[in-house]
Amino acid sequence: MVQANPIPDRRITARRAHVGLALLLALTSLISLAYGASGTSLWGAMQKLVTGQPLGQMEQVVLLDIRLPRLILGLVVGASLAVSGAVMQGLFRNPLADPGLVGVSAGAGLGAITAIVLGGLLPVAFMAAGPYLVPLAAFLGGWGSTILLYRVSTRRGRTSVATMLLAGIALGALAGAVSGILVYIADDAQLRDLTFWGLGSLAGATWTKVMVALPVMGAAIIAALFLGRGLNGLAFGEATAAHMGIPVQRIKNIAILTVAAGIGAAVAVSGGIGFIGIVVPHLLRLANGPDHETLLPNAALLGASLLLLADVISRMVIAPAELPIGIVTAVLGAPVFLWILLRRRGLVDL
Amino acid sequence: MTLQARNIQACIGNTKILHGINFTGHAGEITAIVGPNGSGKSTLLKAITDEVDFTGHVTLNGQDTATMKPWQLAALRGVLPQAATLAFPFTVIEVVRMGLLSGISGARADVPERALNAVGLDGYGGRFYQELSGGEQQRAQLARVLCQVWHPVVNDAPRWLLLDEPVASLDIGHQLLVMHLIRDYASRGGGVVAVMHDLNLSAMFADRMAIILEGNILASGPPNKVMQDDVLSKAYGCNLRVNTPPALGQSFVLPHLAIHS
Ligand SMILES: Nc1ncnc2c1ncn2[C@@H]1O[C@H](COP(=O)(O)OP(=O)(O)O)[C@@H](O)[C@H]1O
Ligand SMILES: [Mg+2]
Repeated sequence: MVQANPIPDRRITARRAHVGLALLLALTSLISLAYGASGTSLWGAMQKLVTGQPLGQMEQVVLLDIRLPRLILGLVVGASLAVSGAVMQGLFRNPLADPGLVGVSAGAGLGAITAIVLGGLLPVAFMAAGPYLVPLAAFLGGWGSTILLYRVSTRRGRTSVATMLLAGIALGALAGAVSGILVYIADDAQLRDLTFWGLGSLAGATWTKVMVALPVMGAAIIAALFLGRGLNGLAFGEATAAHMGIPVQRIKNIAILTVAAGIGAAVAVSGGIGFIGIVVPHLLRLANGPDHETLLPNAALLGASLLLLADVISRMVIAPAELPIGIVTAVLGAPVFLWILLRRRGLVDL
Repeated sequence: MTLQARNIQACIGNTKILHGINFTGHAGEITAIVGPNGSGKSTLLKAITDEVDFTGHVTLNGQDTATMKPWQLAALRGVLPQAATLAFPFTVIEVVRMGLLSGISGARADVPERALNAVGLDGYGGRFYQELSGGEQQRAQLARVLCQVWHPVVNDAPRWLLLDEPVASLDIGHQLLVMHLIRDYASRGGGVVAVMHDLNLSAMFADRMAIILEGNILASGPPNKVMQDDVLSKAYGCNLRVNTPPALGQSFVLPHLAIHS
């Protein structure tokens, strides 16, 4: 029997979503620029710019040195988290594979903490890495844990969800324990760095951080956008993907590298921000289907918008103080995640 | 033009599954690989398509497949696995369209619809693949494979359908539909190599049959040569009687004859 209401061509709705989500991102970017503790008016500054008057010093500092880097960082971190989530789910052939859930973020965090606490012990030659040291270490941590996870949970091109989640818990616990030891031996100055970093916040956004993180995350996101075809093929398993003409090993390598770079850099500049990577791709799959060629760019747009919104909320709730953004994404994201599990109950084969 | 496998030996773990198999499929023909469960039919197909480690050589239209890139192979042959899996809720037409991924020639936009039509699934395009029955899923996968090598001959080179039990979970009507479909593909110049469960369907449609027993070719040739009492009885380990009514000109074997003899 042919069902009464077939699914319409989702390529069309997905393309419409590109436009809608781009507009949403423009809107959230404006809100993020306009809203802040200082009460500086974006509108006022824009009027001055248009009429050719010089900006006041306060306006310059607040808009250009505080809000703008924060906007850019939030945008690229959000896009990176969502795209990494989508890529990882495609690679593991499972919608529950989220870097935060399966220990990749914890691995990246361990890398970052190691760099903060033990970085001083490195030979002087390494000090040249300067602000890149922490992101680099986070990347290595994320990369190592992604590869380990893939090795442990994939046999003959099939990934066992149970193994993946359990291995992820073990990995996360191990990384957390080692991180704990490092925190224990850290000195006071390092502890301040760690606390600040661990809160998961965009509050520390500076142009230096933007300069460090933007190229890495930008490259990871752009590389990931080319994985659409390959990840679609992998949905059929590695053997069938190869028969479709997909260079499977190369796709897997690129996928692992982009996840490690995207998550590593995001963790390094903003700590652990959860749920963007699982909720955004899931909502998009519900709306436009699982086709990765449209899912990946849409995930970048929606992830960026949602993180900017979460950041604005984190600045509003207890103003003039700020909530860590990780708390906001967890409060909003965890119920959505539970709802996903509820809907899929019985389909999540462990 | 042929598909040739020479001296194929394959191990899975420490167990040797194939012991030096030589096998040739010809363009314009259907070659059926038959044999009892676990005899190595799927493994042979997987060796030919480089899914399992093996020693030996495989050539496709005269070219060593080991030297070809994934996309070159994909342009020349479509492969239907015995059991297909699919992650994520794709619709049927989305699944079939993925055959166009590598459809270098003839990748026209209407091919997926025509492929669905050819396997008897018109109207199913907008349904979720995961909600189809087993037989319907198998036909949807076949449509995807067909889509990939839609034209049997491109630039004078035949293309190949390599199918592992394409009709195993189909009802008799759809078995005939699919067998006629691949018969037609072969008669238009393409090559078909199909692992088959059903001896009678094989004898009816194939130009050649090869029987595999415990990783060796027991017999091969035209169906009437292979469908012999002693060959089949040895292969399947039970007494089988083959009948070839002159009026039909085709050999067949029925289960009840096995019990009586
Ligand atoms: N992944 C595997 N691990 C271990 N043994 C396997 C595996 N796949 C196949 N075999 C064994 O190889 C033999 C041939 O299998 P196969 O080629 O699938 O048989 P069939 O002729 O039924 O298609 C069987 O004995 C089977 O048990
Ligand atoms: Mg088999």
